[in-house]
Amino acid sequence: MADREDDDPLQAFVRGRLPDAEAERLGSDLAWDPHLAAEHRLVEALNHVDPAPHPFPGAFGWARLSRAIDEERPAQERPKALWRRQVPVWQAAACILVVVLALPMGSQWITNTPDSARFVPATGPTTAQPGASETPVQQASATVRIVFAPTATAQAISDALQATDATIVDGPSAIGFFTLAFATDDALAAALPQFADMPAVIELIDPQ
Amino acid sequence: MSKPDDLPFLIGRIAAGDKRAMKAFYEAIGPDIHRFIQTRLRDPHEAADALQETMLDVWRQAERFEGRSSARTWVFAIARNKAVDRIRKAPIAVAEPDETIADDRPNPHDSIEALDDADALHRCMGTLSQVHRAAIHLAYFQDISYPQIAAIEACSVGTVKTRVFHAKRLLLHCLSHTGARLRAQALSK
Repeated sequence: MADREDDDPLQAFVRGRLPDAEAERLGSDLAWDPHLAAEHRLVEALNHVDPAPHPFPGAFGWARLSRAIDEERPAQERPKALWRRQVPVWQAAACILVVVLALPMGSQWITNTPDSARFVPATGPTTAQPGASETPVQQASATVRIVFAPTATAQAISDALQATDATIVDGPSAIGFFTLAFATDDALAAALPQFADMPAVIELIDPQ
Repeated sequence: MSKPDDLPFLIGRIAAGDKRAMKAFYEAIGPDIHRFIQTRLRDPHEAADALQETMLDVWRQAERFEGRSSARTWVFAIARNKAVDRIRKAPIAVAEPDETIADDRPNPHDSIEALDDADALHRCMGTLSQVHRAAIHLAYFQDISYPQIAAIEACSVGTVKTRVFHAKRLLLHCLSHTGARLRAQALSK
């Protein structure tokens, strides 16, 4: 390729792009020049070492992006979604009450969830709670489904989860729901009013 | 790994408002973009947000993509700008490392020995400035040509060559010192 003319010949050698004659010459130079040999080893290593310390956000990132895209679409193109409806305050309060009453059912569901269904937050330490078990799903007794605001930053989401000792255990669903687990029913009950005060981070609390 | 041949097709579909194409694009090239962003932004939340902004710009600007650069170069350039914008807006500027190279020539045997330790290269990469880290990452891990790196980094090909050359020298010095230390530790046992 013409735009490869200026490139590092060692990179072309490592990737098998160097013409045979040049590759042969470079190969013989590597045998007697230790500095060139060290540089060659470095280039080889740089081709294989993934420099990223943090994992790709994956499904979590797509859920955020998907919601942000929907926000930008003209209103008539957006999918009809539950949280787009105007929900009176009494209905919202009823939803929260149903969540609290449904906690035993939720805990039964969560303990029956197979390992393969667990959602591991892609931002790694963002949901690692101080003192939390490595298998929060098995210990969680209370869950709630929520939708993050499309404009919420990763930092804001992380802060919200840490502030309420919540852990993401499932999601996102096709319409953007995440399931959060709490160590105790009391922890969930304490978190709900906090979530209600975070409209910029958590857009909807779903009764399931 | 992304499939470069698929990307222009996907961008065409994204320009037509196809969200499934956007998802395929995100899954195809998102991991590489996220890696690249992390050469400049070390904070995981900042990196995740910069990735989100990059992909949202792809969604918004897909119809403006004319194919003058490769699709890969185009999206990497968007990501670079998002990362640089975040660095500029940071409330406290992050101090760049001192990259002064000592006069001594690196010992190649020590460098090679250090490369046998998987963590040594990671540690040495961490001593580079974000500009050098990005250049090395694009040239080797991503295997992007110098002219394309120049387009991504908004600089000349000569600047790219200088950055890559300088970054390799810094890495070899760092590895040489690490190797020497490992050798000394082995001898003291």
